[in-house]
Amino acid sequence: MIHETFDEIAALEAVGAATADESRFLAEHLEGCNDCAALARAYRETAARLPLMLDPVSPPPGVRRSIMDAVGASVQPVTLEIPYRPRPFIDPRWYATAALLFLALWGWREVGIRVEREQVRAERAVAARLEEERHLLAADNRRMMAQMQELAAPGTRTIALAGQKMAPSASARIFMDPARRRAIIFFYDMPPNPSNRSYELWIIRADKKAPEGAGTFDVDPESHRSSMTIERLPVDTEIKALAVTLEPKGGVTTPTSSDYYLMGEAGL
Amino acid sequence: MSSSQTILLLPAVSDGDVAAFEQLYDRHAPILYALLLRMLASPEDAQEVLQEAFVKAWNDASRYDPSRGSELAWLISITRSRGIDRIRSRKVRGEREKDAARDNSIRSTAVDGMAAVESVVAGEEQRAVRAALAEIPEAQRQALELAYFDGLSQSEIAGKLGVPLGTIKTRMQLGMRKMRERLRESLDR
Ligand SMILES: [Zn+2]
Repeated sequence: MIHETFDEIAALEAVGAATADESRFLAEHLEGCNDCAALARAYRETAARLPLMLDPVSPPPGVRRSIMDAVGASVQPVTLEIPYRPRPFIDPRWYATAALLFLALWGWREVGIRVEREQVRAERAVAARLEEERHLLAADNRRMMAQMQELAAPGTRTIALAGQKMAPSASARIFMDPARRRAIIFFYDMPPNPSNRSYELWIIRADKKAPEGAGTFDVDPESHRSSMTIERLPVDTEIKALAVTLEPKGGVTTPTSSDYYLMGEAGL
Repeated sequence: MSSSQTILLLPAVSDGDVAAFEQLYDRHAPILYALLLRMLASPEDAQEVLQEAFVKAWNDASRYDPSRGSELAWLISITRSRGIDRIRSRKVRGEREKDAARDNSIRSTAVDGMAAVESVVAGEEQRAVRAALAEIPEAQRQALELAYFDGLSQSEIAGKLGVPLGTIKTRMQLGMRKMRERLRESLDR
């Protein structure tokens, strides 16, 4: 009986163990077969009860507090005014591809530098060191691959920052992985910063009045470009907007002026 | 899932009712946290993902459709899918090996009496689920758990257990069928 096949696939699908082909096959059949559709629903309900086999465990009180902070904040009025509109929409897949290429080349360059470094050390016959270095290199490659994979992941969000009055032609593109709470940012057409100053990226949070420094970066005087990565982003609902100012070297804890170079809404 | 005994909270949550959201958390967080501990075997990760899941629930509350299952089932589905995302991104980073070492200590986490009292609704269902699982042969149950909690694919399960793929599929089907029948008898009637 043909429906027997779908019984099996529906059971597998309910626990997330069906292959992509099986899932597609099942979905097509369910459109025309009410019996199997009801069965698939029953299997899903059954699977959703599996966690009840576990003993409940109360999370530490801090978790409740930070969740309530996160959502309580999102209904509060936001004081910051954002006077700009985003640039015309550009297919984010294009940016993801560009970012992947960028990362690939970046990783490649780092590998090249490390290989050279290894050769110098080999000449000095530090064999043990070399072995250690090779491990680091492999770890770096894995990290790079993981970053690339995360950038290409379906959950990755992109945010555009537009040039403001201090640098009207500047722009930036942020690839944000909300699940891992990290981001990689590319800056374009930025005026090079003086040697005693740094650009600083600010996260404007929905739940806090003061912008939060997310790190500093220098712009390459020739290409007028830069990039940076952020670890430990606030959860995505807390990010209202991002902005860039020019600050004393090394950055400061609150912006010293409202002369923005770049700004963009997180647009949730 | 039977939700008849319980007042629905998600409609209020979708209107921005923080108190309803707090109640939702107090009612269901313990079982969701247990689920994430089982899946991730790391309290830090479990707490982070729990937060992500509840923030998502807050944002998506208006999408909840009571005709398609209980609030707990909806929350479980959000939480598990976030947990699976975390497992996958960890796999990429090759951290699974580390988990194996932590596994046993986490799984034996003591029963939290208060939490058990808090989720009264889950109580009846929980007994039924455990009774149903107790009737399933160990091999079937193991395959289901590896898929549902550990996010393994059918071929990964076959590889891990050293059993042909066809056997794994059959085990999961039989296990699920038995569970479904038993739960229908004891809960849905
Ligand atoms: Zn059918």
